[in-house]
Amino acid sequence: MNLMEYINSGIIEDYCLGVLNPFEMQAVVLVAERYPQIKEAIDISESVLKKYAEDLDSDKEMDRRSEEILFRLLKKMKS
Amino acid sequence: MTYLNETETSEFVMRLKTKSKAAFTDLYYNYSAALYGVTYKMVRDKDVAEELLQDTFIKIWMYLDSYNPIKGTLFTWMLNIARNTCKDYLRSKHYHNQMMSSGNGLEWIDYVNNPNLITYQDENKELYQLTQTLEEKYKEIIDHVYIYGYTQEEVSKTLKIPIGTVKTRCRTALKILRDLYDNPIYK
Repeated sequence: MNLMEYINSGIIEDYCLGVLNPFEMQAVVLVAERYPQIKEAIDISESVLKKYAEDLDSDKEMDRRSEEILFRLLKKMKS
Repeated sequence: MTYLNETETSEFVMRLKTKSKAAFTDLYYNYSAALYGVTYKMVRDKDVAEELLQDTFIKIWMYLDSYNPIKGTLFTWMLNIARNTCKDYLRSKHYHNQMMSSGNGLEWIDYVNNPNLITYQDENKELYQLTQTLEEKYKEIIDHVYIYGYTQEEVSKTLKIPIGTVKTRCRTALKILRDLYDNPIYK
């Protein structure tokens, strides 16, 4: 398999965006299990999307509220 | 920007499945800001977003055993739970009543069913952030597909853009973001 060709095909982006059908998703997972470079490409794209989502909190509310929410959450989960 | 490598992500998922408090705390610190960002964007109310974020984490914790990479990356899987939690809230009686009594009408909820009502007017504060560095034509596609969870077909119909173009823009948007985040200024 030509890994660069596979990476440049756009399938990694589609997998990370969740727009593939289940059969195609499974195919990507199998390829990623076999080739570390593909898994790495997926991890990078996932991190980018995660950062994009973090930036939606433009006031950086979670920087201030994170601890308190976690505390409430742990309390809730105990009960 | 740091990211978990192959071994780290697999180990992380395995550790999460042990359901220890420490694993939960790690999960929370890794993903709470991102999930809050999406939740807040969908409900546009800080207090409600905080509540829904907690609900989302409880559900993630409950259903963690069912996570499988075939369903997408760990973050995409969690994002799906967050989106559905928001959609349930926006469709709820409580939300309808609150909107009616506050005189805000019901226009907010409509974007759940009508992606064409999504606007970007509330995002001026993000000027210095990456969400604003994307050209509008890419941003609207990423937001519709990834943040709000519409299918590419729905986006194509709503925005009246050929499906092929939607698919190409999705991929290109992610490639642009990847390049931008690799830029040291964003690290």
